[in-house]
Amino acid sequence: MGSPVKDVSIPENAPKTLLLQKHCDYIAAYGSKKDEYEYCMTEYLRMSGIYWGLTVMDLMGQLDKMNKQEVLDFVHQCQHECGGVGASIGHDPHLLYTLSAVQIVTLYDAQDTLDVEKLVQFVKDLQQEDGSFVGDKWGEVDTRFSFCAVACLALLGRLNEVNIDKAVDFILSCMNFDGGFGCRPGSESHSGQIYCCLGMLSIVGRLHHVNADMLGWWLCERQLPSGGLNGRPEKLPDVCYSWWVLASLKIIGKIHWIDKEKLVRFILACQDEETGGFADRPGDVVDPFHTLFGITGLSLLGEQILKPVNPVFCMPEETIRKAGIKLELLT
Amino acid sequence: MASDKRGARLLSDLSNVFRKDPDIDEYDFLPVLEPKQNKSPIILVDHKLGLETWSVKVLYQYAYHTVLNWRNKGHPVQFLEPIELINLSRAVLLVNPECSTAWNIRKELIEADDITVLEELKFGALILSKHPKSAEAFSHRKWVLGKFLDSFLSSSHDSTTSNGSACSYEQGLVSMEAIDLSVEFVGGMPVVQHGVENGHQDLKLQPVSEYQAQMKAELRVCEKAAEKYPCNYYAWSHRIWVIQHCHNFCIQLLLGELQKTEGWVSKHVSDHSGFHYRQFLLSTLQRQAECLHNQFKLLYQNLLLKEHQFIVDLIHTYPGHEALWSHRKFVFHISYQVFSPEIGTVSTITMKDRGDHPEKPVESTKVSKKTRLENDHDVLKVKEVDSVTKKDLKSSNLYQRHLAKRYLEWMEKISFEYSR
Repeated sequence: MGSPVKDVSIPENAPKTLLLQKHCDYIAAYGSKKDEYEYCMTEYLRMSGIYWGLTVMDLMGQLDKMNKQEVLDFVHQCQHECGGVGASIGHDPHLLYTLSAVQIVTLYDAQDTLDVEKLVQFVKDLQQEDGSFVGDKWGEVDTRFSFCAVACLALLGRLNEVNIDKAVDFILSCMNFDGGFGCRPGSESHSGQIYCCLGMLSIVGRLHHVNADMLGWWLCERQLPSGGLNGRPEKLPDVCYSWWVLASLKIIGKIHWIDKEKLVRFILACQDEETGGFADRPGDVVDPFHTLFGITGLSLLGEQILKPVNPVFCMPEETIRKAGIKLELLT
Repeated sequence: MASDKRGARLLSDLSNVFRKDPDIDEYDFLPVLEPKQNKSPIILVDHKLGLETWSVKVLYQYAYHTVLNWRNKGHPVQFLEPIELINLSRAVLLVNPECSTAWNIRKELIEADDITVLEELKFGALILSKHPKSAEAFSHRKWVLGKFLDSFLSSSHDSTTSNGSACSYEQGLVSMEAIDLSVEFVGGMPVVQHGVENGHQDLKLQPVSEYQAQMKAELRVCEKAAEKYPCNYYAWSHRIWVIQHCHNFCIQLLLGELQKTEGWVSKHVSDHSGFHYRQFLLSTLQRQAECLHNQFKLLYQNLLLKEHQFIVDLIHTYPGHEALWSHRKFVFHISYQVFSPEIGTVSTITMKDRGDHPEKPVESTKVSKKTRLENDHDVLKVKEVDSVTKKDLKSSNLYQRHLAKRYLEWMEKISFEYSR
């Protein structure tokens, strides 16, 4: 009887080496090849898309292939009067894209592209009485936004602007019995949310609140026989979850609890030999999002040809060091 | 320009369809790649809407550019009537519900009274019928429900309607079976003010029954979305939000949901989100154990024992499901806490019962003593280890054996943690 585990099998002929130049070409050409419909279907997250592309190019040592001035002009145009940044021109400001914008200007060491004072005020105003953050003026609460807020402020050296104690209390109120975190109090543990909560606690140096053994146990159980990691029980493995789980394990000092070789094999198998780029699973269509997380995963697993990635900010370690940011990681 | 003309025409056709039939409750794209002459690509049958794929692209690009251009105050500056904005944003969202700016435009239209809250809830449900895991559709829904709550509260403040407390239901219901979700839940009126800035209130009087009907409908929307997309994180966390914010953790509803989802999770044994929802219900009930006992004559411990039996039965019927074992972990974890003599609720209830009703402590003491003796948490662990070792470790299903082994290791770990 076959194994009933929900998983994928890696084809014999799947790529086994890193096709670095293919990925650079794929990202460099992305955008110019797309048709009009696809372009406006994805415009609602353009700012994050640019961050993904720039970060992955930087980790591959080819940031200079991207048009810096064009990017910075675009970022500048997307900042609103209130200080928040929208995903694209004409799109409303939101914390998600505000963080992407701050990450972009940090990669380029060009923080003066943005009106930092206004941006800090925007982030500050989104903190609620209970310490949580809403994503924009309309009031959705999510632990992802706590991460975005704190990450933004840390990159700008302005962490002192919000109430950290309360922000931490809110994150802790989202912790579940399995050691994981959900989007709000009472919500299911989810690898993406766990990454955000751990990242947030790491930035503010409060990781001692985490039950690293219990959470590490849950995170390790995300690894499937194919080597890939899923985001929740009985979901399929996915390159992006491989990153979030892996980065979370790195933050709590348990990365050695998973089988690294098998994970590397899974990630490499998600490359497309012809087009370049990574897909969520072997054989699927590639996109910049999974390409970033394929590369960051391999970087965290020690791939020497790539620049080391910072597990919290998902940016090159050297950029974070240069910005003078100190993070807490458990050992 | 030609495509712009076609786009404008499509938009007007679509808007007419919605005007003629405001009760469209499902839609999808029909795989027709080329336009056919003299035939509209928009088809409406029995409140179900179909859009031919070729027209979707033309429609979307037209609507998207027009509305975004307006939003950005692009040149030439174009004035759009509210009705045009309603139609344009609807066209955008039917195709791409993650476009949060289009939802925000609709929020502004609601604040300006151009769209009613009830219309918008209906529209959101329509979007979820095709995109059941749209994060933005659920996010917008919370905001709209917040408006609905606000207007309900402001109208009930003006009337004599009491908000009631979460536990205002005095009838003593003895067994879970007696509680039917279909009964009107009298308690659980919201007392939490939703944090939405708002200078404008929709002051139409909404009777309690309308509130209840809408909230019941909301739970159905969640269930439909969960049905359409397995492990639907957004649908289940929305359902949790609804219980927390719109039902104020009403005990009767929690019990009803516990009963109602029993059948659902039994039919979806791989859906961890469904089981997590039960974990949320049980954790919430744990905090109200005293009220549960006083008003419903239900011992929280018995709910746990029942849940344990339920999950063990499912594990035996459907071997090799991680979601089921994960739920078993939760049940063990919470039972281990509750049945613990030091921190357990058992002793808490006993003491309280004696204090509150010194004249009739006999029955509850008897129950508690029995519970204590039989369910001391070490006994619980020994029994659990024994059951897993004798049955699941010997399963013919390889993955079941693996999961059972991992469970025993985990149990060792957690009981060690508690003993520290």
